[in-house]
Amino acid sequence: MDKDRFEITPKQLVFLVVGSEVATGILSLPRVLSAEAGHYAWLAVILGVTVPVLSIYFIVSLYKDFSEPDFIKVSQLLFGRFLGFVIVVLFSAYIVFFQSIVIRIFAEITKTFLLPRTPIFVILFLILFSVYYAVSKGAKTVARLNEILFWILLVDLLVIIILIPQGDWTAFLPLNELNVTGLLKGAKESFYSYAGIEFLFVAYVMVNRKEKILKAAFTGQLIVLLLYLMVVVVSLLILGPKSLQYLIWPVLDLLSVRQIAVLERLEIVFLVFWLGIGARPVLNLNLASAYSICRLLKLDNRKYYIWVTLLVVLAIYIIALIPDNLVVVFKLADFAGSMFLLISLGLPVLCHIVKFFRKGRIGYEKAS
Amino acid sequence: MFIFGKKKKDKDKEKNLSKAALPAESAYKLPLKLEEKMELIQPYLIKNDDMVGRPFCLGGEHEIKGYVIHLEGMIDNISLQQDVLRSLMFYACGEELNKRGTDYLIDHIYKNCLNVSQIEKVYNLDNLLQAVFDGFVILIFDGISEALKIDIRKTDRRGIEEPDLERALRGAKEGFVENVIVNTALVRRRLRDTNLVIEKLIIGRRTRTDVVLMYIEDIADPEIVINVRDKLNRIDMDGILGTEYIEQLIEDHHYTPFPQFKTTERPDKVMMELLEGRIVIMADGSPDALIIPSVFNSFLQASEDYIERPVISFYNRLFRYLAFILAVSLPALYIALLSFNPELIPVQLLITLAQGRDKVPFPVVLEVMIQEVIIQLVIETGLRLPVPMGQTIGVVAGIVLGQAAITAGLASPAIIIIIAVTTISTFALPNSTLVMASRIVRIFMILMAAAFGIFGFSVGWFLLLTHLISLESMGVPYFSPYAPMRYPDLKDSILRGFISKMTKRPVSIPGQNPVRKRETDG
Amino acid sequence: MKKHLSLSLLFFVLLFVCGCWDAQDIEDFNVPLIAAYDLAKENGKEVRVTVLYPDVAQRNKELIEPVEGKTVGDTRSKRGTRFPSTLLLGHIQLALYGEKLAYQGLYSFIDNYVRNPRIKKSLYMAVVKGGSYEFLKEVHQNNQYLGFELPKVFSSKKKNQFFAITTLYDFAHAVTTTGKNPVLPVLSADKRKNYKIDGTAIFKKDKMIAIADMNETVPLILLRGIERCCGHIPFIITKEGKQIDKGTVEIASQRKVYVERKGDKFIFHIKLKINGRLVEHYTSERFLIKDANYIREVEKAVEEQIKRDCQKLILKMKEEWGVDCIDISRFALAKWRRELEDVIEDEDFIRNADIKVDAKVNIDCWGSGS
Repeated sequence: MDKDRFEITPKQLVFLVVGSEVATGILSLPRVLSAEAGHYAWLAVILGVTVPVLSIYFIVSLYKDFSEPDFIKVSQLLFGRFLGFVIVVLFSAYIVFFQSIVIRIFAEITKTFLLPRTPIFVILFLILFSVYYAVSKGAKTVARLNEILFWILLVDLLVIIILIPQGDWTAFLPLNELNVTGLLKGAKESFYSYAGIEFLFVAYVMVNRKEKILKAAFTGQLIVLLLYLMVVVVSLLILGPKSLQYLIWPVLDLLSVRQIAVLERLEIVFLVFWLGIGARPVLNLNLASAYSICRLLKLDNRKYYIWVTLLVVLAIYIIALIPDNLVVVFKLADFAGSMFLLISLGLPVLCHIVKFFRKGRIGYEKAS
Repeated sequence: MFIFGKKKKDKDKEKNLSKAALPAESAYKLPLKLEEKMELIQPYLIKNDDMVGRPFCLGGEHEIKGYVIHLEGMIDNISLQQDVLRSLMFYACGEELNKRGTDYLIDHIYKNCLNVSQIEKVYNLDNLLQAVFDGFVILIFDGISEALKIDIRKTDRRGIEEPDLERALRGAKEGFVENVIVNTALVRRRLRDTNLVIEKLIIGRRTRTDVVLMYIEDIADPEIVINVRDKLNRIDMDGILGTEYIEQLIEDHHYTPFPQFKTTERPDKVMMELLEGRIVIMADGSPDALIIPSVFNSFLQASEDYIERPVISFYNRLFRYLAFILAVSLPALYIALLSFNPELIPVQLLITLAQGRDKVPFPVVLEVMIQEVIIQLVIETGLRLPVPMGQTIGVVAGIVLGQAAITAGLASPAIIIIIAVTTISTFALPNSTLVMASRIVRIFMILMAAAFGIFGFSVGWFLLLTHLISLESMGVPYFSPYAPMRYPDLKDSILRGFISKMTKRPVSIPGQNPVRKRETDG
Repeated sequence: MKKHLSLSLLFFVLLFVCGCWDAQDIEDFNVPLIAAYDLAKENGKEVRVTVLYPDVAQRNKELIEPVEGKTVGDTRSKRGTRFPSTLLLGHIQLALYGEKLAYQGLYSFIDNYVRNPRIKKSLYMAVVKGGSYEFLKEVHQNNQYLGFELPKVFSSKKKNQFFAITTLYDFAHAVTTTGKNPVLPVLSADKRKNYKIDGTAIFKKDKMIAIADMNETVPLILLRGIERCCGHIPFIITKEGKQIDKGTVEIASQRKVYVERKGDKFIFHIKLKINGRLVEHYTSERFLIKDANYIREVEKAVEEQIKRDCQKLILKMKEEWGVDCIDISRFALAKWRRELEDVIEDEDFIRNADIKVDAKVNIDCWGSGS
C-alpha cells in the first residue's frame, strides 16, 4: 500500500467524520425535521444520532479482530471472493449515487442563491473539478483539508448564534405534548442527515493508531450532533416549526433575518465559505470509493489512483445531472437515506453475523 | 505528494551513478618522466592562456626538475612565491635520495618541505587537470609519478554588507557574500556547537560548484539529511548557478508558483533555522542560503519578528497575512461584487461606484485587467531600471497614469484604489518569490471571479488552499501548522509567543531533540 | 504530472469558452431604494408598482417610475419596454403598500420578495394612507433624497420612537406562524407634503383590518413587547383634581406574559417592566433630591397612564378588531398547543380572553438636575 499518501491520524479522523456528515443537508435539516416532529425537532436530532453511533461501534468492533482491517480484504474473507467483490462494488456504487445527490443539492443552492442564470452542468463541473483536484492528491491532503475546513465551518455556522437573542422561546413549548409517531418520523429523517459515517468502513485501515479510532469517531460524532442541534434550535427559535415549512433552505434565510453592517448580506458571505464545506463529504467519500476500487481491482495506487478518481468523479457528474428538478432530487435524497441505513447499519450487522458463524472456520483472526 | 513512476526511474539512475563513480586512480597513472607529463599537459597549456606554469629545479645535490602549473588570478601569488617555490628551490634537499629512492622525495616534500596548510597527492591526469581548473597549484616532478596539489586559492570577493532585501531595523547587519567559505565561517562564528556539521559537495559536471550542506547533527532529522544529501548527489548537470538552481533541482513540486524552500542572506537567520532542526544549503556563487524544509508560514515571517516585542510581531504578522489575502483576492473580489453580487456593497457606496463606472466603456473585468497589465509593466520597468530612474517611473506611473486614466475614461476611480492597494499589499510580503507567486495567483482569481462571480472566487480559494495543503517541502507538510494542525506550533504562526515560553522546537519540522530551552530559566 | 497539467489546461479552456452567464456590471442597473405597490384599478386585478431610484448619470437626482401590470413580475418586464436599465432588486430598503392593497391582503405581493434570495429579508415594510404612488410623488417634491432618508426613519430611530418597525422577515414570519399577526407602520403625507408616521396598521394574517392612530400605537407597541422598545412618554401629575406637575420620561419596556386557564376561559397577565429616565418636569420648586416621594409620584403617574391606555387599547382590540394584535396567543399555545392550534386564530378566542395588564415603572435616572 502506498502508505505515504494514505495515512491519517486519529485526530484527523475526528475532522473527517465531521466532514463526511455535515454537508448541504444541514441547510434544510430544520425544515425536514420540523415537518414531522414539529417543535420536537431538536429531540429528533438527538434520537437520530443513535444510528451513526451504533454504526461506528459495529464497524470498529468488526475490524478489531482482523490483522489487516481493510474493507476489501475483510469483506472477501467473510463473504468469499465473489460475494465480497459484489459488496464492495455495491458499496462504491452507493457512494457514487449518494454523493451525486449531495453535490446536486449543493449545485442547486449555488444556482438559487449565487448564479441564477448559469446552467447547472457548469456549476457541477466547477464543484467537481475542485473535488477531483483535492481527491487526486490523496488521503493525506483530504484529511488536512478536512482539518482546516472544519474551523472555517465552525466560524461559518457559529455566526447564527448572534440571532439567539431575537428568538422566541415559546416555539419549544409545550414539552408535555409529545407526538410520538411524528417524533419517530422526524428521527428517521434525521438518520439520513448523519449519512457519511460509512466512510469509516474504508478509512479504518488508513488510520495509523487503530486503538484510538473509536474515541476519535465518537468525538467527531458528538461535534456533528452539537452542530446539528445548534442549527435546529436556532432555526426553531427564529422561525418556528410552521414558518420553516415555507422555506427550502431555512438556515440560509435565517442568516438574512438580521442586517449586519458592512457585510450587508450574511447569507451570501456564508455561501462564499460554504464551498469547502458543502463539497467536503464528496471529497471524503470520493476518496473512499476510489481507494476501494483501486484495492479491489488490485491496481497500483500510484499509477491508477488518479484515473479511478477521475472515473468516480465523472460518474458522480453524470448521475448528478440526471434529476430534472429539486423535487426529484429530494426524493432521490430520501431514497439515498434509506440506502444509508442499509449500508451503515445493515452491512456491519451482516458482517458480524457472518463472522460469528464462520468463527474458527477461516483463518482470519489475529492469532493465525 | 505525487511520485508515480519516479522511484523506478530513480533506481535506474542510481545504478548509472554507481558505475560512473568507480575509482579511476590506478587506471591512468601519471608517467614518471617530466617531459612525458608535460606532453600530456601541453595541449591545455596552449589552449588556455590563463593557465600558466614555470619550470624549476629542486634545491640540493640532485637537480630534479619540476614544473608548477596554476591558473592566473586564482591563487595567492605571494604565497606561491614565498611558501612554495622558495621552499622547493632552496630547502628541498634530497640528501637521502640515492638511498631511499624517489618515493622518499615526494614524501619529504609533502611532509617536511612545503609550509602550506593544505596539500594533497594527485595520481592521475584527470584529477591533475581538474585540480588545476579548480584553482589549485600543481607541482610535478621529474622521475616521480605523483603530483602535488596545493591549495593557496585566493579570490576577490565583496565585503560583508547588510543584505538589501532583508534589512532589519534592529539586530545584526551582516549578510552572506558569494564565497561559500566566507559564508560558512560566518555561520560557524555564531554557532560554535561541535555538532554543527558542514558537508562539502561538488555539484555541476563542468562548473564544479562548491556546495555546502549544514545541519546540527543531534537536532536535525537524519532522514531528511539523508534525503537531501541523496538528492544533491543525484544532481547530474553540467552546471549550476548557485542555490537558486539547487532549489529547483531538489524540490518535490515543480508545477507550483509557490517557493518551497526559503532563502536568506542573513547568517543570524541561518543560525536560528539550524537550531530549529532545519538543514541549510549554500553554494558558491550566490549569497542565498537555502533553508530546508520550509513551511508556508515561514515565508510570511521576517527576521525582525523575533527581535521585536511579541505583541508588535504579532501585529506585523497579522498584516502580512492580510497582505497576502488582499494581494491574491482584492481585484477578484472587486469583479465579483461589481458584476455579480452588487447587493453585497452598501447602497451609498454602490451608487458612487456606479457613477464612477458610468463613463468607462469597458466591462469591469477588462477594466481590472487593463489596470493590472499597466501596473505589472510599471513593476517590471522599475525593477530593471537603475534606482533613480526607477523611482521616476514609479512616480510617473503612479500619479500621471492613474489620474490620466480616470480623466480619459479608461478607468473608474475605485479601480485605481483597488489596484494600488493590491500592489502595495503584494510588496508587503517579505519573500520575493511569494511576491511573484501572489501575482500569478491573483490573475487566476481574477479569471475565476470574472466567470463565476463570488462563487468562482470561492472555488479559486478552495483550489488555492488545496494546492497549498498538498504541497510538501522535503516531506514536511507545507501548510503546517494550520493543516495538518500542529497545535504546539501555533504559538509561532500568526502569533508570536514569548521567547521564554517557546521551550520546544517546532514539531512541524521533524527532529531529534525537542527541547530548546529549559523551562526553569527566564 | 503531465496529465495534471493537461487537465488543468482543459479546465481553463472550458472556463474561457463558457460565458459569464450571470455577469452584469453595476452601471447597467438602476438601484431602487423604495418600491411602492398599489392597486391599479378599482377592481383590484392589476397592480401598479412604483420604484424610486437614484439616477446614476446625474448626481443628486432621484427618479420615480410607476408601471402597471397584471402581476408584480409583469410590471418588471413592462418596465423593460419603457426604461433602459434593469432593476437591481437587492437594495430595496423599504416597501410601501397602498391602503387598498393592504386591505386586500399582502401575501401575494410579498411572495416575490420571500422567494428571491437576492432581496434582503430585513427590508422595512409600511402601509401608506391613500395611494403609495401619490404619496411618493408628493413627498418627493419636498425631499430630493427621499430614497435614502425614508428608510432611515425606520432603521436609525429604532431606539427612541414608538412605532411598529416591521421587516419583511417579521411580516412573513407572523403571517406564516400560528397565533401571530403582524402590524405595520402607517405613513401619510401632510398638507405641506412632508411624510410622517401616522399610526399602525392592524393585520389579521396578511389582511389589514384597521388603522390604529398614534395614541393607540404607544400602548400597542408596549403591549406587543417588541424587543427593548424605547420612547418618550409625557406625564401629568394631579393631586385632588389639580394638575401640579407635568413632564416627560424616556422609557424602555420589557414584557412578561403569563397565561392561566379557568375552564374555557383564558386569563392573560401581561406584566410590563418599564425602566425610565426623567427627561424633564415643569415645576421648578420641586427638588428631587429633597423630596423622596416625588419620583414615586412620577412613576405612579406614568404607570397609571400606561395602564389606562393599554386597557383602552385591549378593549378596542377585543370589541372592534377581534384579532390578537398584541402577540399574546403564542403564550397560550406554549401551554396547550395541540388543543388550541386550530381555534386560536378565531375571533372568539381573543374576544373571550381575559387580558390583565400590570405596569411597573422604575425611574432610576433623572439626570444631573436636582
